[in-house]
Amino acid sequence: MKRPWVVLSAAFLSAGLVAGCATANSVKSAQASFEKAKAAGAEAKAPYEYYAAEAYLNQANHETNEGDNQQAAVFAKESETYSAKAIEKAGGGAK
Amino acid sequence: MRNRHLLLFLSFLLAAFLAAGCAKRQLTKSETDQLDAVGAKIAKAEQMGAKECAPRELAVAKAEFDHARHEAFENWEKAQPYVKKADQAADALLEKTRPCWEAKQPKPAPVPAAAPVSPPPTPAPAPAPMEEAMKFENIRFDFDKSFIREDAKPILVAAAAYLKKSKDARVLIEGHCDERGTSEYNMALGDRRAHSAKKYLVGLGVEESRLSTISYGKERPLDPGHDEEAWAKNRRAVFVPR
Repeated sequence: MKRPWVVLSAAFLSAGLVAGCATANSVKSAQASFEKAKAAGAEAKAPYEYYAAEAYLNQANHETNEGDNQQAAVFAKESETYSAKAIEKAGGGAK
Repeated sequence: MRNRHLLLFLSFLLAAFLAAGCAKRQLTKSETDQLDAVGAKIAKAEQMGAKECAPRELAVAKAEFDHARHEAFENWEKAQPYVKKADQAADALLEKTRPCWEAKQPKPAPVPAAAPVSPPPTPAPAPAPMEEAMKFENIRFDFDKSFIREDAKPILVAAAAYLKKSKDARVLIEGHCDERGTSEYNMALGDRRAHSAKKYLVGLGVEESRLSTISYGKERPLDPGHDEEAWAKNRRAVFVPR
């Protein structure tokens, strides 16, 4: 009788933890990419991409604080894409 | 037996919970119009060269707009401050972009002081309102992808705003690809791109019957080059007034 409860609780808990960790990781990864873009001098060399990466990272942090992890991950991914473009334009990143 | 019923009930509960979490509300016409107005300002600024003139303001306005759209689909009342913030960001963007754009416009040649009197030149015929307004940028796609990118959304929002105002306007959406891959594959990919743009416009409230699609695959490149720069230009959807 107890078994289904245990299994379901474990599944809920695991899903929650996995989703939470995935979001935290995607925001961290976006932050790291943005730092790389900054170090590569993207603010001067690729200003639009640099500021877009920053703006979407701010939105990702806002959504994390609001508890909307799904949307935080969407904005974090967007930020990371812009950081990658900024790094590419700025000449490959910090050396 | 009892355990099976319990499991079934809990599975339904879980499914209902997940579905509720994923469900999005529909925007009303007035809500869509308000968002479209903000999107149109951003698209206008982009067409005026905001990327070079006001990169920071453009980036902030786009991010605020995306955020406002997301919140609007969740709860319109709670989205109000974000819509207002996005609108203010779009205004700031236009304000910064306009003088830069004006400075780039060609200056009219000075009129000579003692110019001989001649009949005034016949003004060129004004372009049809449709042609004038339907100068939307092409939207671009990632390699081998047909999803709508963030940079394409303001263009589509502006297109939708125009199409909703001009009830008679109809548009053919052309889907194009870069030269890599077989003709058959690219024909299908171009079709997916055109349909993706159409679906987005329909989602913004444009009647499906006014939008038609065609795929040219890799047959009509915009840039004949063979490098990434050319390919990026060629992976596009084009809006042709009908």
